[in-house]
Amino acid sequence: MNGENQTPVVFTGKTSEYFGIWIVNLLLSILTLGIYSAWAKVRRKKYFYQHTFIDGVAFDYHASPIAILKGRAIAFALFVLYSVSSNISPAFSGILIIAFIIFLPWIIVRSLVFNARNSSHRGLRFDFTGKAWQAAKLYLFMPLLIIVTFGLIYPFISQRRNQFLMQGHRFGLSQMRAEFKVSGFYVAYLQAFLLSIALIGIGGVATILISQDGLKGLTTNNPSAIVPFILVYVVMLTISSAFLRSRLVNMIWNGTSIDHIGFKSTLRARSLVWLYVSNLLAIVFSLGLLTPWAHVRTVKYHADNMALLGEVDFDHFVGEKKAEIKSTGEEIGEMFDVDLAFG
Amino acid sequence: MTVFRADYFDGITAGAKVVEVSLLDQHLRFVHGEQEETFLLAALRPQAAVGSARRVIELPDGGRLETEDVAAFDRLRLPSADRFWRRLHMLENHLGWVLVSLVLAILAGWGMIRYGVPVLAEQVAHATPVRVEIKLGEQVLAAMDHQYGYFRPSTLTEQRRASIVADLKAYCLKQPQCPAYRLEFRQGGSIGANAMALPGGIMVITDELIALAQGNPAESNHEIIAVLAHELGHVERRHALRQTLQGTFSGLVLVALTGDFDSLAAGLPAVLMQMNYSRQMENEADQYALASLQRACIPPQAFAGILQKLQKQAEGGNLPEVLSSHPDTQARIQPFVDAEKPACKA
Repeated sequence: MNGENQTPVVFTGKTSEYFGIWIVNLLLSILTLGIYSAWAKVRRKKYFYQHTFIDGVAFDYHASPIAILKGRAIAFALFVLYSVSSNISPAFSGILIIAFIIFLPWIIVRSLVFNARNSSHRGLRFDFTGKAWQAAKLYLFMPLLIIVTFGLIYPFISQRRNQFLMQGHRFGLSQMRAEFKVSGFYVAYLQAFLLSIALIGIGGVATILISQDGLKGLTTNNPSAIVPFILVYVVMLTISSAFLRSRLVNMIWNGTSIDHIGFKSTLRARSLVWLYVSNLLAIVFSLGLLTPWAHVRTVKYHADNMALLGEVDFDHFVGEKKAEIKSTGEEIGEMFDVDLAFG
Repeated sequence: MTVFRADYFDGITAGAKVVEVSLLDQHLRFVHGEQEETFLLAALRPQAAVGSARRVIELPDGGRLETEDVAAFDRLRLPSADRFWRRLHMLENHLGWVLVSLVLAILAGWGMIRYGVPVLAEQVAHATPVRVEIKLGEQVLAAMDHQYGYFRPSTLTEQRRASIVADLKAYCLKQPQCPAYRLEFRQGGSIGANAMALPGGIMVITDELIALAQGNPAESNHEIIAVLAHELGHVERRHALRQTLQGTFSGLVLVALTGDFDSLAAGLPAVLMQMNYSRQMENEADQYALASLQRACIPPQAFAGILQKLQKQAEGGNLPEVLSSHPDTQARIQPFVDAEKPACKA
């Protein structure tokens, strides 16, 4: 791979600038009882997209705030219906949950389509061509096997899901290709698992040391005695999830290509650990005010560690004009926190 | 006259063509390759500026122009550039305005949860049919009985229960109007000596609390009635329903805002404010208890007595005082200690 043409991804966003957008978003969202949050989302995404460059040209985000607002209104109404009915008629809320699960694959695909079609680069739109039945297989039926196989099938499901997500995307008329080795996923998950075991051992010893030394004066039934346990647990979780994320994201991008262009992702576990821990501390101790700083540096780190491989002659890519798509799927997905992230 | 230099994308291929854009007689004009493009200014869709990003003009045929020459672009003052977005952009880019926004954002968020949510909850509580509220209360009680397993059936004798029920009825008859209630006896188990008002006027009192109140047999029911009077205060103001609604609404406000809000930072103040409401509700229930006990010829000191016993018991146990949502006991009981004993006799 070395010696080839590499084109870096450049992120030029600045905290000082994004802070203004973030705080105005927050203010108007509160003043309008959340209605503005649809506009806020467009502002935020536009800021990050328009400051991410490949070969001197940035991305763009086109979603209409009204489309997002409609989706949010539906999701909000469903959420209210659910939380009210769960107190009054558990049977009805059970039906709602089942209906939600049945529609979940459709929601997942719609949300991917909405996001892709509203993203563009160099005047060409992205698209997502995955089908709902594929999502049903990957997100509803395969998880049933997790219990039967004691979780051993999970890396396989993860591999299939990520292949589905990447392969489904198009830029203009060019489909992305993605081939990941199942064995790579098994190795990454196994390493993360062993790392967690080792950390639990170290964490246990550390906790005992901390509680004996630092908190000697406190009685055992003082609630603050569990603080070191929680801290150690959070740090452990951060380390192993950062490790897993760096491995998976690198593997996913390095196995993805579009036409003659490949990708190179070089995330490092220890940098991600530092990023997550410092972001968390900064946000907590600034009472949320450093959130924009955390957003900007997270995106910057990811952009800095991503490059395109091969000759980037963009004349080669062609597109067609797409009708806009309703946003219901995406916003319901967002509201109920459907996690489509890697891993 | 050349106005600015831009990258032109035709929307069909991804290649950028560098063009010199000029303005002539309400038309935008540029040449790429052999081809000349002209667009009426009014037909263009200039995008709202975001930060210092390149300025973008969307062309009616699906193409786009991107320019780094922000100053030249802004000088154009293209007619369809939305005034709303321009103002917004100005707001976002001036530190002074940003700071004003920051203060306003904090005040607005605080005000909404502090004042907006309780008013809304009260309105909704009043609009809620009593039957629905009772159903809700029954659900909560059933959950506490079975799902959470807080309670076991009461072991009180039938006689003892009847005497409490009768005394509560007598107390109620002396009130100008007594809210509809239903009294439930339970063994408290892990929650120990306690009494609570659930939605729909359902009041639960634990065997442990009744045992604690039994000191001086002649007056023992006074202390129990005093506690129940406090709970009836909650029932009368529909506190349990309001509290539930406030919790739900605060949650909904946060969910609605999390489109661009860090729930970690936002959640904590909301929880603290939630505790604050319940303190206010406790004070209201106390005031109700004080007035109604005097009307029923029961010395308000009975309430002070039972609270002190509870306090003493809590000190022995390992329940941290911070976790309690009840206001500081000493401050609470003072009005009851100071109150005049009723001239009449119960």
